[in-house]
Amino acid sequence: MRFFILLGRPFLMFFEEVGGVFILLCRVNQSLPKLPRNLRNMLIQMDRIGTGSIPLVLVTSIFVGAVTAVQAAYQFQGFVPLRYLGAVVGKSVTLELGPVLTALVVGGRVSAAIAAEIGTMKVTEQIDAMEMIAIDPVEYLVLPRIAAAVLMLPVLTVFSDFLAIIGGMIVAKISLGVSVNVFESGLRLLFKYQDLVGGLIKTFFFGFIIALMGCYYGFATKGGAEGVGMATMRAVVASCLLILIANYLLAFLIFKIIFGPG
Amino acid sequence: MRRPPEAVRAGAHGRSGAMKNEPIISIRNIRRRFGSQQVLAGVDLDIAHGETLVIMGRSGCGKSVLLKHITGLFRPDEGRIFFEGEDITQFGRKKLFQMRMHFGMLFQGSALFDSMTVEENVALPLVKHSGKNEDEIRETVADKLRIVGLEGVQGRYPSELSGGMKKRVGLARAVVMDPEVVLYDEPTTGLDPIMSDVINNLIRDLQTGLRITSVVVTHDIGSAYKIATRLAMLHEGRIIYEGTPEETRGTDNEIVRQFVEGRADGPIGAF
Repeated sequence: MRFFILLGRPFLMFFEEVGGVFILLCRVNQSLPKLPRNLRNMLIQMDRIGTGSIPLVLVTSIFVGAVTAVQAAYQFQGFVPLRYLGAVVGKSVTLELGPVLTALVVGGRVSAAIAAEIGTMKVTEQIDAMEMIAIDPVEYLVLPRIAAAVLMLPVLTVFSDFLAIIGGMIVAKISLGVSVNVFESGLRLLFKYQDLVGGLIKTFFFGFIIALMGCYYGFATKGGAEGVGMATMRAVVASCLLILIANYLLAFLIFKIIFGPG
Repeated sequence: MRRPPEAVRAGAHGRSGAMKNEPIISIRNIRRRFGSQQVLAGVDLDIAHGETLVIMGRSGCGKSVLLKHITGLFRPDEGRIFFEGEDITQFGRKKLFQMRMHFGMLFQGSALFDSMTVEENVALPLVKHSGKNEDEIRETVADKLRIVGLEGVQGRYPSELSGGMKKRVGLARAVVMDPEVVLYDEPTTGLDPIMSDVINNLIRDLQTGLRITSVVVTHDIGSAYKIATRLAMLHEGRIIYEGTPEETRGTDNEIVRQFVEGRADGPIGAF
């Protein structure tokens, strides 16, 4: 019996969480027409999520571009001329590294911050206080955060793509002896408009996942400081896992079905 | 819409003046379980217009849970709660929000929004629901802060206030929409005796001056005697006693006597 309880509990918790996320999604959907009323809140969140993440994205992107150039050059040795370096860095960054790594680092920062903020509000009864003054917490807290994350993640990704390519270009010039012109011509050689668009389409979904997970685990917080810590950790883990899973599904959908051959 | 049995018997219709003789809030056989713990096990209680009802009971006996059922923050597993004759357990979110316009609540930890100043905290219900302009809102907020003895703190954040000041800001926010009912969850917990008395006086002034119906949850007996027009005791998930402060002082109910006298020995187990 004890064995079945131990085995069943994680399943129950999983389905409880899936159900909880689904209910929150339905309430977000119902609140959607009220977004214009919460424009000020949304702008505040856009500043926090977008502007606040710039230093993190800046450092991450430059080094991601740099390491991509170094790794590509290493693999090219004896087989591929270095004039194709720009092409590989550009493709890798716009298709995968820019969108996914930006989502992961911003996701860690933002979903943790959202879960901690809403979680603290929950355990200090601020959510109840909001309900008592007839303000819907989903409309006031969740909707502006989701809208802000969905809008800001593509902007951050464009910024990240640009910086990563610059990072790759700098390393190519300084340590690999590839001139800027050669790197750039390589970049242009295989660049496809749909690579950039496809990468950016994914980031709308990543932004949605990040804010939704932060909000869901914030609202699900129980207890005190420990509960807030657990909620924060769960939000980060769930958003990172869902970003990676969604990345595969979206890549399949976008690059195989929509932009695919034929 | 379902009415409590007495209201049906009395043939009451609508929110008329005749209804003033009926309870503003009626609680009927409320049951609520959290996991394996039966917190409320059949609570029956009537709250009259304009009275200050103090609900006493040991820590963790379900007083705050009961308060949250009255406001619709929690839904009971069984039973009904009527506000002015309407069964709120059947309300959807929209109707609950409409009903809460008639309520104010002071939370145990004040529950002020940390990201907002004192003025923004108190003004939020007005900004969202009153249709007043900025100057009118500022004036109303200053007025309510004056009532609770706090002037010139509008620009401060909750983190810059003492516990007593937070409670008073919470109280100003609770009454800013001039509600019919104010609910107080442990209003004096964590305060020094002088500040506790300040809060008690404010609660009493609101009841006598504005005829607000107050429901206070506390285990502070001194406070209870000072502010209550009626006391009730919640024990093992049920209301086991109701009476005026005078009746309570002379009661022969052993459980109530042990509680108000603060004795470890008696029918209520200490652990």
